[in-house]
Amino acid sequence: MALKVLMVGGRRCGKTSALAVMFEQMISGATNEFFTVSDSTKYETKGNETQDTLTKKSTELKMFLEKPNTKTFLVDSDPTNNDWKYKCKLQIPGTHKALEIVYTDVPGEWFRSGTYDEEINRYVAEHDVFVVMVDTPYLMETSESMCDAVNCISDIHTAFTHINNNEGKSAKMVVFVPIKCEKWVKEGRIKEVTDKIKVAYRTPIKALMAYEKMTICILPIETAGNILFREYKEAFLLNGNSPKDRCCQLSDKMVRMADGSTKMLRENDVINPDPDAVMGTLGIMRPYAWYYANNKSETPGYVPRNCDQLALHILKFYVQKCQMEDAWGIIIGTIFGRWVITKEEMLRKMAEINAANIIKNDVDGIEYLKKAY
Amino acid sequence: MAFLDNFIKTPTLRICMLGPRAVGKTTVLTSVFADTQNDLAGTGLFFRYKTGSASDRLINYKKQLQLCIECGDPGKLPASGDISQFDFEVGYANKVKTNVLVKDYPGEYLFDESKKHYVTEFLSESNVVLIAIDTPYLMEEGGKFNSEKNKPEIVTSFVKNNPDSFANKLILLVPLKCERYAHDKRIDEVSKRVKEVYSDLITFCKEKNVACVVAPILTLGGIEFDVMKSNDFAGISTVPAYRMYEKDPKYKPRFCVQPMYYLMLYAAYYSEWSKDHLTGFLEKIQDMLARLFTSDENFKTALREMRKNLLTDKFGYEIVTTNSIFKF
Repeated sequence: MALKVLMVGGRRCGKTSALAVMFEQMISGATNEFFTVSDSTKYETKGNETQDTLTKKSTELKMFLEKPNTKTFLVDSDPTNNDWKYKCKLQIPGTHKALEIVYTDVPGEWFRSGTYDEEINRYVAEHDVFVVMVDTPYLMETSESMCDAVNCISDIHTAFTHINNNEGKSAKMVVFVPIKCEKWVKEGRIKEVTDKIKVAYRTPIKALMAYEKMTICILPIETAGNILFREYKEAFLLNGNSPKDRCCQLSDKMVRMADGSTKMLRENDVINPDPDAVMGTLGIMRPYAWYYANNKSETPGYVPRNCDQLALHILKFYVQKCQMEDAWGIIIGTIFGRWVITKEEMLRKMAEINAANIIKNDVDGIEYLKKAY
Repeated sequence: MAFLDNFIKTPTLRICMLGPRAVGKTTVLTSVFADTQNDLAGTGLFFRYKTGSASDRLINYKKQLQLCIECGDPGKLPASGDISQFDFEVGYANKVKTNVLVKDYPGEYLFDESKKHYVTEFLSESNVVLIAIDTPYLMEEGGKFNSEKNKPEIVTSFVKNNPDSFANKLILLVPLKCERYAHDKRIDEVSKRVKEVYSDLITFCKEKNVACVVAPILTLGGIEFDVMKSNDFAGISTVPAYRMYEKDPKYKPRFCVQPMYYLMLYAAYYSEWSKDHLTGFLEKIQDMLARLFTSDENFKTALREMRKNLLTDKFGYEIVTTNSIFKF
């Protein structure tokens, strides 16, 4: 049996990176005292695309911070075109008893094309927990229309009309997760991020509030801790069309490449708008967000924060749901030959976690807008 | 009970849109869609496009409208393309209560003998007829360009020559692109002008039990009409030019939910009226089962809220004629 979480959000917003760091923090962080956490994903290949491993994603982030880095660089990686499942196994230490949380990562590309509406709607109808990843720089530093376009707010709202709460009997949870918010955390402005979510997502939030037994939460996370948004620049490609050719113009004769290196333009160099940044048919370009490493932090290097909170809040919701709806079949089962956690063990574990106060509330921008129970 | 679910059909409400070419009917529907989604959020009702229909393009079109208006260049407004049918679903708590089908017919079909039947066939199944009116043509320079663009005489003639197609229906006369007149507080002049120009049609409605409402809408908000300019293209001698209305223009449609409210309420009134007007044993049985299994107090509550939010006598709205179905 498995708990199922659906991850949605715009292209390249960082869903997989967030999952990677979340798994890492679960494995090595405070949760470790209560569960032995492991990545039990069966990595797949679909067509000519292979699922990124979570280790690879977290390594990419660490790479920017492994030594003092004074450059301004792009962090966005290649978007994926496939839906992938990632499985997090939580095992009671010293036993074989475990439960799994399955995170389904829906590519932002699916929302853009309209071709995958049936798949998206089916996923929405089947899941109990939804994580909406919010690309914070676009939330905070661009217009409402650009934010809607990049974060797919209208598409997510429409998709959520397919949430099936079984005529009010089944509790659901939606977590809005602003990511890449290190700059606003550093500036003491994370509350502004939370407040902006309530404005930008007001229509889907209003619609979700009308559901009985709906839990709605805003939970900002930092996947790297010391990678901060610096600025927006128009998106160009230099002499090619691969991710490494992405650049921005610093002047008529100088460009900055994706890795932060700068180049003087030579006579034969060809610089073109990045077609991947074009939005719709109008030729309006999405600007690319550039980042820098905060070398002056009191805690330098790779210091993610609150990524494990996402998993903990979801787990807490699920246990409450099972208890209130007497629906323990979601977590436990009688699969022949497999060890499963019993209801009593699960309740005991949650009581221990609650008593240890490792689940944060009303701090760091974490805010509940509504609770099912 | 699966066989009963198949037997009870989800009703489909139909809107037939008539209006001149390039009046912006896709923009109208985009704004109706966006405004209705926003307005219904929080009521428990949802309004969404049907999966697999071309209507999903409306979300992308809306994003483009938003981006275009915010970039401050009205010349960049996207062309609407060739979509002429839009399929939506309305429901409550993930259950679809009714489909909404909107078909858009260009004005030329009304005087093309080979194409007219498409319109009359769909009209006969429609609940509401939406006649789109390009307001700058209606209002500017004494309306001297109005016949050329909006063709009110042809529309009126078509209605009068096909009384059966319009029987028991609601006609919405919908002036579009009213932003300038709303900003200048002249929206009542627009309604008055509509009633003057379509007076023959309104008289016909009074005589033939057809309800008629003037329902101005603001489809964009951040853009308003500027001046009429001469033009040598597409058979129209003059075209309106637009300008940005405010320093930081935004996509702000207004009143675009009203056609949906009128449709839903008219359909509710119609279903009550039709109780005493069903013909055929099978139809009566289907209707009885629909009432038995699909009566939904939550949905009815949402409809009552809709009634409270319906505009009838301000912002240029006016119920010009009622009928035995639409009792206001």
